[in-house]
Amino acid sequence: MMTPSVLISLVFFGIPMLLLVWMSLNNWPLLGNTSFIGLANYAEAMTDEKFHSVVRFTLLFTVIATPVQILSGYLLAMIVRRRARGVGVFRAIYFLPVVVGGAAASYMFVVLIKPGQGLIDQVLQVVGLTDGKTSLLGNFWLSVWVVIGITIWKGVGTTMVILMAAMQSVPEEVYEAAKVDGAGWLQRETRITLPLITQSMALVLLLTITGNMLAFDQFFIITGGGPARSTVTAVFWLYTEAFVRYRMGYGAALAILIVIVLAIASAIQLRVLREK
Amino acid sequence: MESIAVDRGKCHSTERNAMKRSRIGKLGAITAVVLLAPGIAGCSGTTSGEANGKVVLQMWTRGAGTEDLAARFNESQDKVEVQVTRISGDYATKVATAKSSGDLPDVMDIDDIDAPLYALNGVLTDITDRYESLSYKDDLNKAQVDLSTTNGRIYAIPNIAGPSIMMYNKDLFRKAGLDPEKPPSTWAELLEAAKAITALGDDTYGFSIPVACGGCIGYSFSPLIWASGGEIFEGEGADQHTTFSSAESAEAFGFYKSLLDAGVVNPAEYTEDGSTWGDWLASGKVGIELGTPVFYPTAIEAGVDVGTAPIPGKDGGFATFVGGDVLAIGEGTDHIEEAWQFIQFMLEPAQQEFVAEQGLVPTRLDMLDEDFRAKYPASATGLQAMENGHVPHTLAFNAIVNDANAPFGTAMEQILTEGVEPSVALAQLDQEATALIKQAATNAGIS
Repeated sequence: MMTPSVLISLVFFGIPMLLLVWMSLNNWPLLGNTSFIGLANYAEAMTDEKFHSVVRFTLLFTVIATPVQILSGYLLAMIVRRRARGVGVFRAIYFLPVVVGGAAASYMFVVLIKPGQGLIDQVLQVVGLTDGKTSLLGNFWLSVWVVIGITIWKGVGTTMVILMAAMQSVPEEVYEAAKVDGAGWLQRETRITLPLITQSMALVLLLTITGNMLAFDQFFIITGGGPARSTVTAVFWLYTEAFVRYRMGYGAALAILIVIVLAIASAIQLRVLREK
Repeated sequence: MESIAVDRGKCHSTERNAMKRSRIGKLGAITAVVLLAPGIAGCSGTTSGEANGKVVLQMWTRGAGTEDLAARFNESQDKVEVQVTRISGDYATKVATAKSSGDLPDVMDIDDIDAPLYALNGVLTDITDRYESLSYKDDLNKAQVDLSTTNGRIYAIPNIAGPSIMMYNKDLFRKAGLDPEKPPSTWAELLEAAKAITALGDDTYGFSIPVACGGCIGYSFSPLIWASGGEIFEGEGADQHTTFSSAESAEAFGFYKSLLDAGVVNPAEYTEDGSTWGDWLASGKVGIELGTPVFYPTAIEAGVDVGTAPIPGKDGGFATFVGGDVLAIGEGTDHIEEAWQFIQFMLEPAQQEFVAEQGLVPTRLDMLDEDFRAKYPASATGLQAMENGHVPHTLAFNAIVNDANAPFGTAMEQILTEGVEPSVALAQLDQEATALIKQAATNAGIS
């Protein structure tokens, strides 16, 4: 009767989601009695200045990080899409960071940029970009770029593989013909490759935007929200409300709001890309 | 707050991480063995009850060396056996889960700052009468006893203290022409000493401030306010509010700012998030540090000649922030008597001395004598400072001070490194902190 996939979706997605919705309608302290409060948590979220500011930061991060990530993925895919000798080695190298755990990668960066001890800090000093120990995390924009850097390093492999597979499905003859017609490198990429890999591009865009909107561990570990609470993301804030302030109900409401925003964003993207 | 429990790398609970780092070498091996030992390994669902004619007690701990002390207890008699589970990570979440499923352990060693929350929510057994019967009850660290008291009833007994103290590098004092046996006893002297040491050059700095770790600063900096007659939390329950913008407090924030302005703090410390807090003193490049006594043995091992003294007030006097652990009996246990027997054992002088051996501080002030002073100088300074020990009795301390996004650390960072006017930052801090208290009170069902 019930197919396994329906059962699995229900057990691992449907029921937890319903529980989350139920939690969000309650005052739900970690310890103590819960009480039904209707939409009060959502009403609070609407007027919660802190939450709004972390949402603004999350959007800013997404808007900056997404194009950089996709562009780097695209460039790498261009490099490794050829079926040449030794190219597999580079594919493996670029893809390797994807299989490193997010937390482990973040801690690695923490060590690398540690003032006075980290390799990156020392290299910056040696090449003369900084004089003396410099902390990259003391400044808002530097912190953001450090996190974007690790996010790309960690995730660009996935983008690359998806785009590479799509690029390889573009028939070689099309390029040959374009070359004969005198199309340059840039023209071939924008007029031929891009239009022919729209589907994969849509997937990559969707995954990257979703990933960036849900960014948490890299900020939690690397910046800790600093300097002065300026790099706190939406999920980071949700975590703080639920597990530091023990307000599970409010945390649940924030989670639902984030899910709704992501669903809408994904729907719009799919629509726009399908119309093309 | 003392623990070597392994949790996330950030400074979520004041000195916890520093402790973790500096102690892990010594205790790591023991801990690992205990964690791996069958039957003791966490989360295996072992239940209390009786085995081989012995009463088996389940104990949760986050404290240092608890496993060794439990083993001592198990050997000392043949009626009760304590099985220890080390809780790493989110203790409060595990307590909440256990509470709702009725699986609370018989004995718990908890972060004293969480005691009010647990007591209010029926996690702990009322042990007021048993506490009253203790012959040494007046010698127990008062600040922690206060924290263990909710609505006039006592729910826990302090067993490990983590008072913040001042530590200084005697070699650097000598080099800078300062008397190494006369540590600064006022803020002015502190600033002068820090300047003299910074003037030595060669990457040496007079003072240490872990700028990006609000929890660390809350722990090490607050005594400056208390020692000068100020307060930061006033009132109780939902009516409690903070007074960070009071004159005494604002002056202490201003003093920290003046230390930065004088250039006596290494700029590399502006992003110290607590993960390497203890390394500064041990590096031998820092003159004075306010921190946990646990830094002392680490620095000594690193070959630094360290002196200790209580944290001074503006014009003298002293105070300390007493974090630490308290022992409590889980609500609903069938073995209150046995659990109490174990708690009493933990407070015997031999076990209290073991705490000092770990670099921590006992909670019994009657431990302090000449012999103790000679053997554990930093621990002794901590005990002495505990005569003016403070720790806020509030439900929102983590949210206000310890958490990475807590408003206290934000205000401190704004004042120290972003040039925000202290009066502005502190007024904002009081407003946010008081709102968090209200929120926590509502959350806990108090109004």
